[in-house]
Amino acid sequence: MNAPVRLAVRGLTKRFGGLVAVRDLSFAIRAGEILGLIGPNGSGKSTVMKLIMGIERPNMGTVQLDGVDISRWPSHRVARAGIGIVFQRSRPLRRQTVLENIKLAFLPDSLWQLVAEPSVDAKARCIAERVGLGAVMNRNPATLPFGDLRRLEMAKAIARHPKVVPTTSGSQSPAITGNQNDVRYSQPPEKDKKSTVPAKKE
Amino acid sequence: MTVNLDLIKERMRRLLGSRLLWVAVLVVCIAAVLPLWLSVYALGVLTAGYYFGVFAMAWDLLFGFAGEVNFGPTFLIGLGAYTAAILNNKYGLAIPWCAMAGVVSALIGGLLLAIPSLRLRGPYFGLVTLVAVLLLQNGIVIFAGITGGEIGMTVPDVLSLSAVTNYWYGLAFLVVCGVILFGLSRSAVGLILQASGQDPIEAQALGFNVTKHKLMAFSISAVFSGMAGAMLVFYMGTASVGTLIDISIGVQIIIAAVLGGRRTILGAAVGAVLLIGVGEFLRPLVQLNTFAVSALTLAVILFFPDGLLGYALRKREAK
Ligand SMILES: Nc1ncnc2c1ncn2[C@@H]1O[C@H](COP(=O)(O)OP(=O)(O)OP(=O)(O)O)[C@@H](O)[C@H]1O
Ligand SMILES: [Mg+2]
Repeated sequence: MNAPVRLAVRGLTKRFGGLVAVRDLSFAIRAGEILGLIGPNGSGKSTVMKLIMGIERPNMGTVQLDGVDISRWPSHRVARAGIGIVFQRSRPLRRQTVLENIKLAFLPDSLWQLVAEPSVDAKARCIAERVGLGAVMNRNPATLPFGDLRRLEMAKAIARHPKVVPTTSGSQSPAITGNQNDVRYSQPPEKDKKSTVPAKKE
Repeated sequence: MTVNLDLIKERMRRLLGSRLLWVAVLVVCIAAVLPLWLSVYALGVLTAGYYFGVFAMAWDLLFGFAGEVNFGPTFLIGLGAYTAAILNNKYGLAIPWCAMAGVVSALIGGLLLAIPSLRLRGPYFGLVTLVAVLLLQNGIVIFAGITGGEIGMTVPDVLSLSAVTNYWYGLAFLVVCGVILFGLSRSAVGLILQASGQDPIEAQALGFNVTKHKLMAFSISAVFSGMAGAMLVFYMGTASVGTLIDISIGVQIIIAAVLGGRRTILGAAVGAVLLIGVGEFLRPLVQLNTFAVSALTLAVILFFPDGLLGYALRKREAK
C-alpha cells in the first residue's frame, strides 16, 4: 500500500457549455491498485477517461503521471508517457489482420522508420498467443466475435506496456490476470454495467 | 503446431502479395513492348494516361490511407506545372531544374494549405482544397502577363519530339513513382497512416501524432503531384488551365483512383490509364462520352466500392 502514487488527479473540472460533466474530482492511484468509478448514465465517467487521455481538455485541475503534469498534453504524448486507454467499444483497424493490429501498437511514432524492427513480429505473436488470439492471428477483426475483439484491445494495451490503464468495461469483459509484470485486467467488482476501472500496472 | 500453421499461412499471404508483384511486372513488360505495335497517336494517349496515373496514385495515398479527401489535386499539379512552365518560358531554365522548382512550389503551396486546414475536424479540409483550386485558376487568369492567362503558355523545351521516347519517359516515371508510393503504403509508416485515417482518436491513443503523419502524407502527395504536373507540361509543350487545373480534371483524377481501387495505389494508376483510354476511344461521342464514363463510375462505386483492383484482390483473398 506504500507504493508511490502513479496517477494523481486533482480538482478536475470539465464543462460542456452550461453543463458541468465533471466537477472538482480528485483521486490518486498507486502502483498495483485498481480503482473503480461508478455512477449512473451521463454522470461523467467517460469524460474523466477522456480528460486523463488528453482527448478532452479540462477547464480546471491537473492530472499527474509519476509527478509530471500531463493534463494539457496532446493524446499521443499522453499515450507515450504511459497511459494506455482501452476503449469500451473496440476499435480495430478493419482492413488489417489481428496480428497487424497488434504490431501497430509496437511501432514508434516516427515518419522515417519504414520497416518495423524484426523483434516486433515475434513479440506481437507472443502477445496474441497469451491473450488467446493465437488461432485467429491472421484473420480480419471484422470476422471475430465480441470476446476476441476485447482480447485484441487487451493485446494492444499490453503491447504498449503502459503504466496506467483506464478502461471503460462493458458487461462481459473477460477477466484476464497476467503474471508479475503484466498489466492486470479485472472485471469491475460491482454489477453496475457502466462502471469504469482504471487498472494499474504493478 | 498453431505457430507452424500460422507461419505457413503467413508465407501464403506473402506469396499472394508477390503474385500482385508478378502481375505488375508482367503488365509493365507488356507496356514496354507496346511501341512495337501501337500508332503514334495511341502512344500519345497512353503517355498522358501514365502521367494521370501518377496524379491518381498520389491522390490515393491521401484519401485511401490518410482518409482525407483532397478535392483539389489539381491545385498541387497546377503549382508544379506552372512553376516549371514559367521558369522555362521566361528564364530558360533547363527542364530538370524547372521540374525540381515545380516540386518545391507544390510542396510549399500544399503545406500552406494543409497546415491550417488539417487541424480542422470534419469536411473542412476537403472544402479548403476545393477553394484552393478556384483561387489558383483565377490567379492564373488575373496574372495573365506572367502565366499566359486563359490561352495558356508554351514551353520552349520539351522532353522529346519522338512519341516513342516520350512514351518511355512516361512509363518510366509511372513505374518509379508507383514503386515508391506502393512501397510507402505497405511500410510501417503506411500502417500508421491507415490507422490515422480509419480512427484518429484510437491512433492518438496508441501514441501516434495523427496530424504529423497526415501532413507527411500530404507532403508526399504534393511532391509527386507537382513533379508529374511539371513532367506533363514538358511532354505536352504547353501549360493551360483547361488541361491541368480545371475542377473537371481534378474530378477525373478522383474518379480514376476510385474506379481503380481505393487504398491500392496501383489500382489508381490502372484506373487513370483506363479512364484516359476510354475517354479517347469515346471522344467522337462528345457529351455522351462524359455521360458514359460518369455512369460507369457511379456503377463501380455502388456495386464494387473497392474498385477494380480492390475487387480483384478481395476475391482472391476470399478463395
Ligand atoms: N463532447 C461533448 N459535448 C457536450 N456534452 C457532452 C460531451 N461529452 C459528454 N457530454 C455530456 O457530459 C455528460 C457526461 O457524459 P459521459 O459520457 O462522461 O457520462 P458517462 O458517465 O460516461 O455515461 P454512460 O454511463 O452513459 O457512459 C453527459 O450529460 C453528456 O451528455
Ligand atoms: Mg460512458
